[in-house]
Amino acid sequence: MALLNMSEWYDIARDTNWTPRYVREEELFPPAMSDPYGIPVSEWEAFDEPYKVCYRDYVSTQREKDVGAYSVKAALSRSNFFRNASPHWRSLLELHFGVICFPEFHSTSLFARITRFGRAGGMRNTATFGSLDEIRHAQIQLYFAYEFIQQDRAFDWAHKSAKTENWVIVSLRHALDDIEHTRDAVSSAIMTNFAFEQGFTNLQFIAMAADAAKYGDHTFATMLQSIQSDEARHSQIGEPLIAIMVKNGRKAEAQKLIDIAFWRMWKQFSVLSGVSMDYSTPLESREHSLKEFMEEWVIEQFVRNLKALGLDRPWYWDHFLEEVNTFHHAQQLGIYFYRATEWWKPIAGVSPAEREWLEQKYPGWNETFGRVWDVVIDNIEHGRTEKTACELAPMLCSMCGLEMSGVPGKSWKVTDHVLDYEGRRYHFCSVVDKWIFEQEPDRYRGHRSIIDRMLDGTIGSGPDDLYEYMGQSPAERGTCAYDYTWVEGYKPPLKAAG
Amino acid sequence: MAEFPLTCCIEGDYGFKLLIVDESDSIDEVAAKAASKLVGVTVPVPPPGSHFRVRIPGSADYLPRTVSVRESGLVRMDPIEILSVLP
Repeated sequence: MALLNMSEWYDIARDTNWTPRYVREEELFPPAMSDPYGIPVSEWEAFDEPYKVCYRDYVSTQREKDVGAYSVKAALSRSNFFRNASPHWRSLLELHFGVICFPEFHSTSLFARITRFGRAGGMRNTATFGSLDEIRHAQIQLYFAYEFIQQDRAFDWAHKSAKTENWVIVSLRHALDDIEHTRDAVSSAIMTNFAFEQGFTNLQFIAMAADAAKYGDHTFATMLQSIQSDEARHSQIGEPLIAIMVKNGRKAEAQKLIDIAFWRMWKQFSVLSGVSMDYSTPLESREHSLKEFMEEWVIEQFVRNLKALGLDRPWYWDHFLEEVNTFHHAQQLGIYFYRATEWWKPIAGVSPAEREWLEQKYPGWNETFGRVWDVVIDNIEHGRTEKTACELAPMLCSMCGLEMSGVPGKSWKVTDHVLDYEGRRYHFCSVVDKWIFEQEPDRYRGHRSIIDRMLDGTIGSGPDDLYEYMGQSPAERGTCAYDYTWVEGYKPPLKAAG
Repeated sequence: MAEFPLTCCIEGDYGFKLLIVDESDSIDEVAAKAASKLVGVTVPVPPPGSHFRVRIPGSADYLPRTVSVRESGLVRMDPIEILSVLP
């Protein structure tokens, strides 16, 4: 029996709205969960997702993808790749898998909310597959991470991290709880599918895949590309949604949601992808710098998408362009200084050749960030490795939860953006993080950063109290991945005998 | 004796740090406490003869050296900058 082409029945199949008779519309679709913008159902009927898929085709396509990714992994598992990998690359994998798995799984919940509470049939349809996608992304990355656990206990954090109060995880959890998990279906979709997924996932899943392939980690590269192919489909929920918002007089609301989410995810990806691309990827394997990739994929493409939808660049664009040059460099310094607070083993990534690359990609790097590294290098060369860890706790931003940083050295400029709100003081690393708080202070006011918890006694002041609070036994505290031998590159060459 | 937390950034450093001092500490002692943890760690040792002064960010003037934190007008978790000056 011949099957119909999907295009012949898709529009009928996705048209699942009805006029309820036994309950009210708002009982079926409570605005707080569904659409708080009051857009008529008739307008939602115009939602048209660009990528259409049916369950039959979804299953066969996804199976092919999984066969591809898992067979590459199976073939390469025998090659001892990880055992032979550079500490740079191991550091990158430890960080990636530690942060990525639980956000993927939690995104299942986001898509399930859109599936249930989206007002447009097509939106619900696409989100159903999105929900399945995110289950896949959680499972594939957990499974791939677990290959390494016998060799490196840091990969236990692929699963464990979500259950800890580690400062990196608190930062990420806050951002994703804000944009994905605590808003109605429409707002969450705009923030996640458009701003987050279309804006940034290419960084970690396409740019990193290129670097991974160049390094020879084809298992990781294939996995990333496979994941991103799903992302390209389900992130398309955002654009038709925004078109409906703009058409129905909600442009300002859509703009603000994008402005908030874009910045929040920029902060997270600047650490995850920025540090990975510009420091942890071995020098010879780097395809692009973070800045080059951002310029092509985000600054150009994303802005083009915004304008096509009738939206504007976020108001803080100049701040953003400046931070592309600086933020992740400062964060990398903090990652190294405070490595014991991390579950992975950081690398410095500042050998003479690497510094030359950094200076070429980010002119002025040596006179700014390089100046701090000079102190670190001097300490290691003179046997003062205890001074490569900072005894003072870093201030963490009350919004992004990352270290409050700026530019060191010759162009020294670091600002603590203070806000006093209803008897409590908040600290922000940028005017934009502060602006986000000011949009909905009651949403954010209750959060206590790790520093707040140290000050209010939630975290004790004993030498191990912070680590125990963050779920780190002594064996789970990061150390220099090269055990300081990376400074060998700075020693002058020995003169030949005779 | 009462703990008094501040946020501080020493000149040339890349980020703000949490600095716990005592409200009876003089401003000079605050500068010294910050410097003892950050000089030679995140910033280089300054030229011989230098000493450290404390400034509220955005202010042109340093805080008086001998007043206590309690008397200085600082409030808990105020940001301060620590700068190296030559006599």
